[in-house]
Amino acid sequence: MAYSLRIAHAVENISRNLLVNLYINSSQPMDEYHSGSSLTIWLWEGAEASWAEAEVGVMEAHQAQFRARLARLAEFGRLRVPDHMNSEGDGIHAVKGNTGLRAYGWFDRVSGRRAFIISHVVLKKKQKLDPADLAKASARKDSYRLSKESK
Amino acid sequence: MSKLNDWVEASPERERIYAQEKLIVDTAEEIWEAMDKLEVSKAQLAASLGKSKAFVSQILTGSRNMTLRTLADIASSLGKKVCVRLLDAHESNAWQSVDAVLISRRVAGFAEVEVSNDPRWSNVIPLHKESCKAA
Repeated sequence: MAYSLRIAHAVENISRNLLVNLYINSSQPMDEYHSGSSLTIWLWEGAEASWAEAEVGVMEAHQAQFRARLARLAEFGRLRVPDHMNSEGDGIHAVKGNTGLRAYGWFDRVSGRRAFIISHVVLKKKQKLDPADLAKASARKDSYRLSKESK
Repeated sequence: MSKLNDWVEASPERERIYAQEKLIVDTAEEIWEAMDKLEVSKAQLAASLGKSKAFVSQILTGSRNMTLRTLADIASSLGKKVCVRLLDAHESNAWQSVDAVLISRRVAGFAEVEVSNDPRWSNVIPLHKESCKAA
């Protein structure tokens, strides 16, 4: 009996999450990328295309390293090693790959769950942050906030 | 299935490379977490290992391969020991740090994670079925 109740509760949770995600996806231009025990990673509109473009010519091992860091972020909610993630200011954070891959984004809550929303991905050519990337991520974060507040 | 899993599972070669990179990331993060908690800098860790600061940096970024001996030395320098277990490849999040478990005590909406007080699991605790109980 207790087992059946637990199954029913789990099914109810899954159905509710599916409905919430459908609602979010219909009102916010973003797709779920990966969900871990601590948070869900979302891709803002255009992020996936920028990611594909940034990875042209990047070795598969480096692509795997970048994704392994994102998976760790989803599992634990943070990356502690500064070479894995750092704050760029204005609430924008960058998940870093050793070859210069950067996923710029921000933290928030989506459907009551912690979330990291990726604005865009680039392959950095220089050591320093390109101000254009920070401006782009900040503008997208503003659009996200406006769209969230207007609901 | 997530987009991440789709990418990883596209080929056996990708799964193999990803597993290597995930282990390197997890190991570096665990070491850094211990360093953070003990307020040990890279320079201090390097000194206690008899290595250069660059060596420690390379270990933590994964640009240099770490031997099991080096890992044991690092753990020992931090007053820790390494716990190794081979788990089923598709068993996700089977191991979590105490911090992560405390954040997500409720698992799958119905299971409650039991946090072990056993000092043997001071850094890492198992999240197996037998350690979960009905809420």
